[in-house]
Amino acid sequence: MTTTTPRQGTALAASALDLTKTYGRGEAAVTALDGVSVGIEAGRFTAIMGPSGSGKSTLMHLLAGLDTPTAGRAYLGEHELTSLSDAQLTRLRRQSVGFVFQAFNLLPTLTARQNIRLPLDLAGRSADAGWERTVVEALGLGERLGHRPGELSGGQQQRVALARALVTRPEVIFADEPTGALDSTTGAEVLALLRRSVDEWGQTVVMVTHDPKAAAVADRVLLLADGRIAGEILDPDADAVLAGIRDLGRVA
Amino acid sequence: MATGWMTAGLASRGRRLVSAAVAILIGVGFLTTSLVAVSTAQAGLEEAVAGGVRDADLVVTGEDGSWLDTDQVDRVAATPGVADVVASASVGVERGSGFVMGASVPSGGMTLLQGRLPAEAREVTVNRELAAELSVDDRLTVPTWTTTGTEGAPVDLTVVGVVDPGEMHALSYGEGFLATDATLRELDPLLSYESVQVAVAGGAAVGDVRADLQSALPGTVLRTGPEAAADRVAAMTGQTFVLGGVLLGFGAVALVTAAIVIANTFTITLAQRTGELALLRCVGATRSQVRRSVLVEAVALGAAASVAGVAGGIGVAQLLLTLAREVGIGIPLGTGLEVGWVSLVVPVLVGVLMTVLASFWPATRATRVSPLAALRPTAAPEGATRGTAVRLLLAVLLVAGGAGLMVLGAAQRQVLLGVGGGLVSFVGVLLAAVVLVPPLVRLLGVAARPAGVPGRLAVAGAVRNPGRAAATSAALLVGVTLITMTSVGAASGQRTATDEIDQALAIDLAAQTPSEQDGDLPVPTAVDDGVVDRLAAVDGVRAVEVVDTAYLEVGDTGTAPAAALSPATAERVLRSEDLVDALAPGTVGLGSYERARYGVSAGDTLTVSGPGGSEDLEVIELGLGGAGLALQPEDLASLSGGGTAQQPGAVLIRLEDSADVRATMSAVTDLTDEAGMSVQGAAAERAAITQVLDVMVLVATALLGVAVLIAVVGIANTLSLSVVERHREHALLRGLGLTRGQMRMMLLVESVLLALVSTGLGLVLGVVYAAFGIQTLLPEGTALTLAVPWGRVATIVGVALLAGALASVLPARRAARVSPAEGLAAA
Repeated sequence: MTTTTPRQGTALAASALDLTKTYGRGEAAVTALDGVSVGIEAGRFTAIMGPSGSGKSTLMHLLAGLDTPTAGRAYLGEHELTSLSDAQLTRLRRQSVGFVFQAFNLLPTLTARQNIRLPLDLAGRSADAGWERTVVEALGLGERLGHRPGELSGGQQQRVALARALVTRPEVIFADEPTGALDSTTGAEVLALLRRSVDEWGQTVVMVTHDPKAAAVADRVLLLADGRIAGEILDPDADAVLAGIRDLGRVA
Repeated sequence: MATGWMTAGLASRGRRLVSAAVAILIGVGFLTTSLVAVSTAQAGLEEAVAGGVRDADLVVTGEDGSWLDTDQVDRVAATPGVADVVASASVGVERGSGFVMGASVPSGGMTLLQGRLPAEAREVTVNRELAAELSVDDRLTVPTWTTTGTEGAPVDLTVVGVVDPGEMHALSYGEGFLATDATLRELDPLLSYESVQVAVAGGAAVGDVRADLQSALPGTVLRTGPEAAADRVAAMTGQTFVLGGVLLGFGAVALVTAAIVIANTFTITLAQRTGELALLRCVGATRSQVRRSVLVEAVALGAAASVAGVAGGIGVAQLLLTLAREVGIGIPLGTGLEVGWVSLVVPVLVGVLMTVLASFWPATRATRVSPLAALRPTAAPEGATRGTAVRLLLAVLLVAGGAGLMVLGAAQRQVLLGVGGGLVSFVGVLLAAVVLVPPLVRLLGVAARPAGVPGRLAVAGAVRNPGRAAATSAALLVGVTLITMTSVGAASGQRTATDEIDQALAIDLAAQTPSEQDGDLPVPTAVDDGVVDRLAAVDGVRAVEVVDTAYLEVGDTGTAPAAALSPATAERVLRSEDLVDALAPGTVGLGSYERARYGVSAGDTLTVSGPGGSEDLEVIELGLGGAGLALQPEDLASLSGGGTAQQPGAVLIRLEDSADVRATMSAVTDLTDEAGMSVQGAAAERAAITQVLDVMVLVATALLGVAVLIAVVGIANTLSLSVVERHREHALLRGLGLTRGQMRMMLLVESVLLALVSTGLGLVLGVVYAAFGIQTLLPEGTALTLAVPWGRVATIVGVALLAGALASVLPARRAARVSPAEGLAAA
């Protein structure tokens, strides 16, 4: 079991306790996550890094209530996710979680505005008009609200996805390789916006990435290897992250 | 050998092709059932019509359909070499108020139910209808005919048995009996024969006897048994030909629907395999190899499903035969199914051909996949917009051209022109469906608003790929259009027919008392009040009105009964309000029979006179049957001079719409017989027409239900393939907070929307086609009254809704199982 201890005095937005996820059975079983315990601090930007197959996406899915663990517990705020039914989980995701994925973030049949409001509409809640305007303006989407995803650039699509994540003011925003499909300039813009969500609006962001430059934007980097926590870097810069990954290779 | 990889797809994608297989199976099964049913009916008919004749050595008939007289028959029997003759003749003899048919004992095709066949003179074996009144050993007294055609002395006939003469026999239409030739000749000395079957004596050559008979009987035609049988069948098969045409027509509809579903399935499965096909091209498969792999798949699928379809079709045919025997449908049926090689081979060939043709376009499109597509991440295939303008133009041309042909066909009463126009315009509508369906779905989608986000997503999903939405709707559209057309057509035909019945005989039932002679004119007797009360109490009788009657002179043609029909009375007993409105003093209502008899038509003047005077009355179309001319009470009173010449001599009866006509009529007849009254009316005829048309609609609907069934498979198919395609989207939605219930709701709404749009379009088209069809079929000068059976329309809409809902069940289950993480992890 590998454990990292959060700094004292910080509230936890999400946490994992001895989380294990195994795919397949018997001979073909693959352990994606092997007894991970971790706390995600509220109001901070956490990056999860690791090579392909290290279990970083699995960890995120379990923390976000998108998937159920084989063993262990996951908490989102005060809710213990593993004890919830599918319907309860779904409702919790609507209210407390925002997502930004690498691609296929938006529904092609809905306009940008409809995509942004989708979680609220699904929950039957109305948008906080002032907050929605603030987010849309801050993300520079004012002109694009009537467009469908097909008419938007990759960067614009990611900004719409971020707006959708922000509009519900969730407890945690999970971003899965949000810059993976973007060129470096556009990627930097998106990272800056995520950073701003934390600094200006006090959001909690968890980002999975394999790009050290992206991870350097975070307050804290969790390193994963072979389904376990392999290290932690606080207030990183790109060099520190690269060094951490190199060490990871040596340990593995 | 490249077949290993070519068929690998079939094995691994078996489940996705299931719906195509089911569509082929149903279509081919239907065709097989139709073919087997037709050949079975044909064989049954042959047996019934020609069964007896076929075994005869020689058959003698008159030239040009003329009949033989007793002298000719006797000469046949007396010709050397003739061992035995079976001559078939029939004679109608009066019995009570009607006629009874007497006929020769046929050589086959009948079933003895009780007793025996007649052997001696004055012995008869009665049919079922007559057996209702007479049993074995009862006497049947009938008058004979004299040689001058007048009534002769009565004879007593003894019933010796009961027989079912078979469906095609002359006795199958009413009361009748079988008797020996001697008995028939006694009844009618001028008996004539339809044909004489000859058995040639052993040792005599058939050819010689034929020559002898030909010279002995000039003016007759001689044929061998098989020749005569073939001729008879040829003359009688019109009936099965029509039946066969209808069945095969429906079979074709089922196949067309199936073809749409198959083409759709192949298009979608191939679109999903773009990457796989591109990989094949990358590793060196040529275009023709790719195309061949798709066609190999189609042939294998078509053959397997078709063989299963034939087996299923034969099973259904056997079931139907059993059912038809149980119910008795008025068509002679053989003992077993007639399954010829045609019924086995043709459906399989048609099924395979249809599958290959339906997959040809998708296969050709599949070859256009560029090898590079394998290296790109797969993007969801979107509907092509290219060619939409061309397609639309073509659709408009086809619809306009087809409509033009239908108008021309309706104006000139050219059925073929009308049918051609209908087909052309329907193809146009199917082409235009790409443009028509999405806006209609959006329009109907407004109703899905209360379903919230799932509803909105459903509308967006349904119109997302217009080509696919149109193709999915097309299958159901075909079925609904045809069902609506049949229903509206039959309802309108029924109304037109009953309008005509109303004009011939406006009253359900009219009972009149017998007359007594009083001076020059007969006078009706007054009806017994007790009888009236009892008539009113009969189950199924809605209104009973006693009316005054009198016997009057009509022109110079003699006396006729006349009844006083005031508008108030008419309103209670007549069905047609138009007829009530036409009643006015100075008019005389005549049925079509009376109008023909007096040589007048509506608007003409007819002179009617009686003890009280003479009047010129205007003829209107309104028949009261036996109750006679319909006059206004004041006209009747002034013509009859009042007094004893005018008596309450007739009872007009209207039945409930829901009445069991047969039972009610028999209860009424029992009462009137007892009172010595006679009954006439349109009730039986109306009931018969209604029943025939109802059965027709029922059969057509059941047959077209097959097309709807295939359409449901098609919708479910499109939907489940969309679910596969939108896996990632569904996962995203689940991630963002769409519950499983909302996911199911979304697919339900999507499916129901597509079903409703096809149904709406189908209803409109069906009504339009029915209107054109009736206009084309109606004789010139008949007014078109279009009747829309709303109950049935509601049923069609209900079934379509249900079909849509049903079609979404399996795909929705699958979509709800999508794990939110699993779809995203695959990124």
